[in-house]
Amino acid sequence: MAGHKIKLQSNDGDIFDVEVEIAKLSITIKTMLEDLSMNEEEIIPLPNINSAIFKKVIQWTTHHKDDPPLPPEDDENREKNTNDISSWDQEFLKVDQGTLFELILAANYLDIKGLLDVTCTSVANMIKGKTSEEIRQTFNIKNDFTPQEEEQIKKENEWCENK
Amino acid sequence: MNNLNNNHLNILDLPNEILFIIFQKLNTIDVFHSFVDVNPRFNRLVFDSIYIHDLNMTTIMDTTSLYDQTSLIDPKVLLRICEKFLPRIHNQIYKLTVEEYSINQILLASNYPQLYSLSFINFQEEILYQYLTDNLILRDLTKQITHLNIDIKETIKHDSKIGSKIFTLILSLCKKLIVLNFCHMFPTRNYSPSLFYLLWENCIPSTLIKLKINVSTLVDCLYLLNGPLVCLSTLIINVSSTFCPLEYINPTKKLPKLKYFSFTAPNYTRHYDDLILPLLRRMINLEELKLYLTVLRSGSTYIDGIQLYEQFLIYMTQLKKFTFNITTIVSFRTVRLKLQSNEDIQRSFIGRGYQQVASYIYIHPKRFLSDGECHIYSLPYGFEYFVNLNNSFQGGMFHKVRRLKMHDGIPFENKLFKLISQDFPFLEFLYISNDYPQKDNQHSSTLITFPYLKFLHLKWAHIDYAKLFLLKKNIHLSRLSNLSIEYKSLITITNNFTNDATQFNFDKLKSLDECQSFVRPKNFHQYFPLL
Repeated sequence: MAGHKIKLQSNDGDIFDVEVEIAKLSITIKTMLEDLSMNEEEIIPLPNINSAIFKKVIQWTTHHKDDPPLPPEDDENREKNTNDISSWDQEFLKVDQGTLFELILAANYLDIKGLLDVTCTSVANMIKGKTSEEIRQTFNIKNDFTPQEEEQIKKENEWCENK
Repeated sequence: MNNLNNNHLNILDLPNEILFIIFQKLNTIDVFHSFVDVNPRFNRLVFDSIYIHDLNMTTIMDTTSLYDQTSLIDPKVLLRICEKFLPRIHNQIYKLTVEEYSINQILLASNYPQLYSLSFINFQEEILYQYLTDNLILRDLTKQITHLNIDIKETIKHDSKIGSKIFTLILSLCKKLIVLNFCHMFPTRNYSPSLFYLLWENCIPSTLIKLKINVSTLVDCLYLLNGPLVCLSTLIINVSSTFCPLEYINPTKKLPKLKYFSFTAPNYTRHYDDLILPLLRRMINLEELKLYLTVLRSGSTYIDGIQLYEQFLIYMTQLKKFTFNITTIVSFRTVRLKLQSNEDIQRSFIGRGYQQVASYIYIHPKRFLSDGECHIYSLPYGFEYFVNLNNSFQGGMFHKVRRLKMHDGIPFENKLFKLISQDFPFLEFLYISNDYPQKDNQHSSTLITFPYLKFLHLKWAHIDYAKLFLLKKNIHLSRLSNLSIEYKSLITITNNFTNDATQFNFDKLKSLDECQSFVRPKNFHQYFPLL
């Protein structure tokens, strides 16, 4: 029913009233409501998501609630997703890396394909064209190769570059 | 942005399944270039056998990137991958995709003992032919493969025989070949070789079981089935022109091995009765049939359920599924036969084992073009394309359709486009052919949206359709990447590149095909930021 709301609780205790139709963009919540026959009056706990991230998720799902359906998965000639991100999503994803990764984990847990898709695309776009050293810098990754492994990599790369 | 990190979550906190999703959004070259040697975990992931079993060594991820000339592989990156990584993983590669810029280095980098599937993408026919004739490593590799995919760029030579030479060469080289896709990989490709030059006498019987192919003419299809494909059980064939270049005696030899036949001839054919029907009657053990035809007839009525049944379905005793979209255009009748009504057409499908069938009849307002058109199609609509949509379109759900061609001798009005946007929700390619100005071009307040449209062809369309489709206030095209348009139309709608650039659906365009070359104005990039 349009406008009908359910209560969802983040892991830090905040309760959110969310329209059922918007909440059902999450397959996880949809399954809880439909298959597990959860009462819409009950508070549904979301133990893996904090309130700050859940607010962002609601913002995204509210904006995308009327999106056209995604093409069927079983399409034989379906092409890989393009790396295009709409201008609204680009603005939405102007967040720090930690938030972006938390959004990815939330989208994965809540099973919101569109949000998982666009957040992963955003990370892919940050990666494209960068060398391994630039990747370490961009994502603050520690180089934990052993000195011997490091020496081996260096040698191989020099050999390729000098060819 | 994405450079601040307030809560310390790092990319390394993502589980492997998510990192694999991110990998899928990059091409293999990018994954090797950026992820290898970052840390041991990423190395393990990149060299995970699941990921490298199917190695795509091209930058082509979709149809759009075929037109993206900036996507060539950096030679240094390619060298590093070929010298350093391929020798390390060569015996885990089962499927390999290559393009002409990189094939040589990839072949020289290593041998591929487990390889069973090979794909050649975006090749010029001469270059592919040369590789298949001269490159000993490749010729050796072809002996072990069971699956082969070929994609060839269009050639300007219409009578080229190279395509047919490549085809025969493949049949003779690939002794274990089971599945072949020959030039039927991307929907926008128009390369379709002529095969009737082939001399089958020298060919040994082929092991091929499944063939997907584009050919030039109906006669090519008949030649193919008269050749050495003795094991063929699945044939998916697209015939680009149904013109018959020569007198052809239709063979009568039965085709008992053929179980699945998909025949698409979107252009008009006059040879339904004399070539297509006899061909279908030879398929005595067919289990599934797909037919997409536009038939021109002059001395006969519309094709209906009774005709389909009596003329070939009755002979296909094993048939389990029949999917079709058949348009009959009856014109210049020499015999005054009474044409059926839509009710007659619907009745003709009753009691003969058909699933649900949709039909409609269109009497063209300018009668000299034809006496009438009859469209019949099985439901749910089973094709990725819909050709020759005109003002007689009745609506329906066409979830499977990705390509639509519209044309008519009377204008298309906005309400038709509104209907199409609803009934074809996943449309990616749209071709509009209509010279007539819209009568009602006062655009409605409800915005029309084609959320998945990537290709728009307006070269044969009146400027009214360019105004309708390219202005954001009328139609929203958030993914439009390829546009074909008359230069004159482009100049008019942009008012010689003086109107506000932001009001057009040009933001994502990666390919602009105008009919004539022109000097780009200084502000060209404001209109087309990705060109």
